[in-house]
Amino acid sequence: MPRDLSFKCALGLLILFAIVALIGPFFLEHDPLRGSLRARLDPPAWAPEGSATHLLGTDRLGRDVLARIVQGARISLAVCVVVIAIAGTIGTALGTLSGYVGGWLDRVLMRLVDLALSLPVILLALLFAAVVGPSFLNIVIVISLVLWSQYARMSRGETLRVKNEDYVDLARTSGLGHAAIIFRHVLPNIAPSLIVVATLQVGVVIILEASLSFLGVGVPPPNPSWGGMVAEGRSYIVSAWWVSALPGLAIVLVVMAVNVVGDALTDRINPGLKGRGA
Amino acid sequence: MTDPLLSIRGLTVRVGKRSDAPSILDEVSLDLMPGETLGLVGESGSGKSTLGMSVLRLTSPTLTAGTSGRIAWKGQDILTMPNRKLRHIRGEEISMILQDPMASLNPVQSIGTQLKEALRRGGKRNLSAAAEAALAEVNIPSPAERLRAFPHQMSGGMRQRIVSAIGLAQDPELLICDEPTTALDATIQYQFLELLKALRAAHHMAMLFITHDFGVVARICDRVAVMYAGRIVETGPVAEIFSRPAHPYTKALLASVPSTSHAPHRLPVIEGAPPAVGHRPQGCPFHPRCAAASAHCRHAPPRTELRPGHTLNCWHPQEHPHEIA
Amino acid sequence: MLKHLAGRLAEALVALLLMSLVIFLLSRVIGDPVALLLSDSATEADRQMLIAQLGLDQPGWRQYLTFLGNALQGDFGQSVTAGREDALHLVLSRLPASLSLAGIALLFTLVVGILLGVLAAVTRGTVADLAVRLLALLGQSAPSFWLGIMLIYLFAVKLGWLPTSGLGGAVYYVLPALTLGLFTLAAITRLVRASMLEALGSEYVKLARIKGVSEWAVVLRHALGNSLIPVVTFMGTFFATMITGAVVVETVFAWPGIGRLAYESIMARDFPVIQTVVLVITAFFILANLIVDLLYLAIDPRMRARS
Repeated sequence: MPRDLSFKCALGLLILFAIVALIGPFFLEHDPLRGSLRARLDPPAWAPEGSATHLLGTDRLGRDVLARIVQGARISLAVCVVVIAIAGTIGTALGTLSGYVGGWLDRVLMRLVDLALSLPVILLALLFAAVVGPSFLNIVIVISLVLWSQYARMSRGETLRVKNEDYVDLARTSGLGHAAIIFRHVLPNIAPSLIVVATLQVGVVIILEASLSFLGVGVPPPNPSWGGMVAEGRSYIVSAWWVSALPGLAIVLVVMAVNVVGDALTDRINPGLKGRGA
Repeated sequence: MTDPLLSIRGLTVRVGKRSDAPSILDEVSLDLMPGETLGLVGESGSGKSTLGMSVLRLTSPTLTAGTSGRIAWKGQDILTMPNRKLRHIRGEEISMILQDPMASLNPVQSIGTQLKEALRRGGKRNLSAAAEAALAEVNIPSPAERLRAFPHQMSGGMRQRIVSAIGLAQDPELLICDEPTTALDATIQYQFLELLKALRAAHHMAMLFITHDFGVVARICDRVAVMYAGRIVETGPVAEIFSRPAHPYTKALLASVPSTSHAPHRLPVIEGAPPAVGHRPQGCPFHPRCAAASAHCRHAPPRTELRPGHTLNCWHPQEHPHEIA
Repeated sequence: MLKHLAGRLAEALVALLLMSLVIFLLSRVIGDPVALLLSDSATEADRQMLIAQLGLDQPGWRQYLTFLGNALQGDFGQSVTAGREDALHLVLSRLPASLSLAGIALLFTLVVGILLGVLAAVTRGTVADLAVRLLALLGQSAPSFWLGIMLIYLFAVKLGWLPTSGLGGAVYYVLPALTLGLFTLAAITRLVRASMLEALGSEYVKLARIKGVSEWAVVLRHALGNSLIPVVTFMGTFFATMITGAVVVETVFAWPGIGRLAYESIMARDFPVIQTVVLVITAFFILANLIVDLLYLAIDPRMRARS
């Protein structure tokens, strides 16, 4: 497949995901949280016994799978946006500071980053989530705690690179303060690399959130998180495959699109990152 | 007259298969006699390295697909030869020394492993002894120890001598040298050229010497072909090209070479830059930069033979004393 | 070189110590072990007695030191669940199942990943290359819990070829190992393809071709060795992915390993077991990274010279 075509398809898919997440829930025919017990485990429309009432079928409580997937997209997107905002801000702030100031602060912070990167992610998240209980806020905190270190490492490296550029020297000799140099010269120049990290992380966040929800410590039911839906459908996999399969398929499609777009951005903005399986 | 060892006719290399794809080499023809050393001179981007690579069919797949013409090695066309046959010509009959001694040795294999691989193909029996002898021939001190060393433990000059030893391991009849001295320090360059001369004599080889440096040509070549923008613009014996260059480009190139015999004044430079692949002008590719250019030059110049062995492609040969007389 | 290793070892110990502190804090400060251990009918006196018995009336740092001291002697306490089993014993008894699964998955992943990566690089731009790249993309995008369920549905339920879950003979390993390995398989394939393409375009591969070496020997003897170096660098990450992936995959396949034990103990708030599991897994993590360091020294002569 030509690179350009796959990139355009993936970008289209992501835009579709964002639109569905933002305004999709307003156009739903069925309530994603309420079902009818008479319509339990109805198959999707294309199956022999399916009907057009529930295009993607219903789950064990008779809730419309399509409606829940659409509502789930909103949850996934919300988690992504909030996590990347939190982890990105903390990580970038610490990394930039570390690279700009240097010295012992740099050494301590980077050891911390090394450590954060060398600990078993899911276990920590599971532990934390189990201790404080499942909720939207907690899952966001857990994932942010785990992911900030990647921004810190990237922004530190990039700051070190930019710090010695002539234009930063020029700014310094012309009497600009440290804060002004960081905000006006360093951050704008390291932003592209951080955007690449953020893009590649969208997939990681979606899968982490889904995994935690699957394990029952993520977004609490009855909210339709994609991971939680897969978990709920697991017991009915023999008689009603669609309850598990379709939300999972939504995850695969979105993450695949994110990876294609992320790779293309990496090629264009920061080829040095290549091959780093995040 | 003996037959040429290597005879290239109408070699054109395009970037890809399509006939309108930009070309790197344009209708290049040349002959190389047994035992002769031909210098291939030009600026970077003139296509001289591509020419060297084409002789062993080592260009990238896109370029290989866009290659047409004929490269005859002892009468057999290399471009249409089956792979199995070509592999026997590579190393055994034609070998090559690459430009970058830092990159052309495998970083994870010892010198001995890489050298012995070539010697084994050359049919040598006692590999260790043969490898030591091969290193000794290129003046590597304590060769037995060096065989166990890895490339990163050696200097550029030493690596380049090892690359030559690998190139010569199978006793080739032709050695292609692609800017072998460019990456070396000036004093080491001189040593290395002397070594190549000695090796050439010992192995009775012909050489195709690719370089941008006329100083190097003067030291080692018998004949020279000057390349510009993918074409050969002038060929002739080294002494004649130096004393009576006829193509304006050759003249300009020679004038920009620093020389100890002339007073140190400012060197003249050629105005402008060589055209990029895909942006080459119609007709004579040099005419936009040429002082002698006229309307004729928009059409391909004829190939003329000034005297036996001295040919050029130009509408306005720079007349030299002998013709005026 | 010894100095380098000693440094890494010291770093590893610090990481382990820090992890133990994190676990200790999480379990003591946020969770209340007393409430978990007492029955509903317990009196205030029972409560006080238990607090004294567990040493919870001591200051925090002292509790931590006691915890560390006991841990060093292999005493991680007992499970709070009905069996009251020794926590370390419980974890160690589940270890073989996890190690064999992760080992098989890693082996399968390495062999197939390298093969596919080389295949894609050598056939660059063809249908084979495209297919491998699509597979890699899919492997990097499918969450393992969903993949596991789909594989069970297809191969165990629909086709009936393989068992759905549990641990038994060799056939029981197929689906869990595949599920556990697919992400890493995709990562290795991409890595090998990229570094192989780089190696195939290098000057030393050109020199090998000049020698007249056959195309097979060029790929296997010259390009492959160099393109495996990045795989070795990422081995630690791969192993880590396997271990953390085990929590999800073992849960899906009801696999009696430490991943599932971790999940179950966390859900049951069985803190002695949680502490043990997390520390054992962290120790494996660190050990894996140390081994990777050594491997790296073995494969790349330039690294040997540097350290």
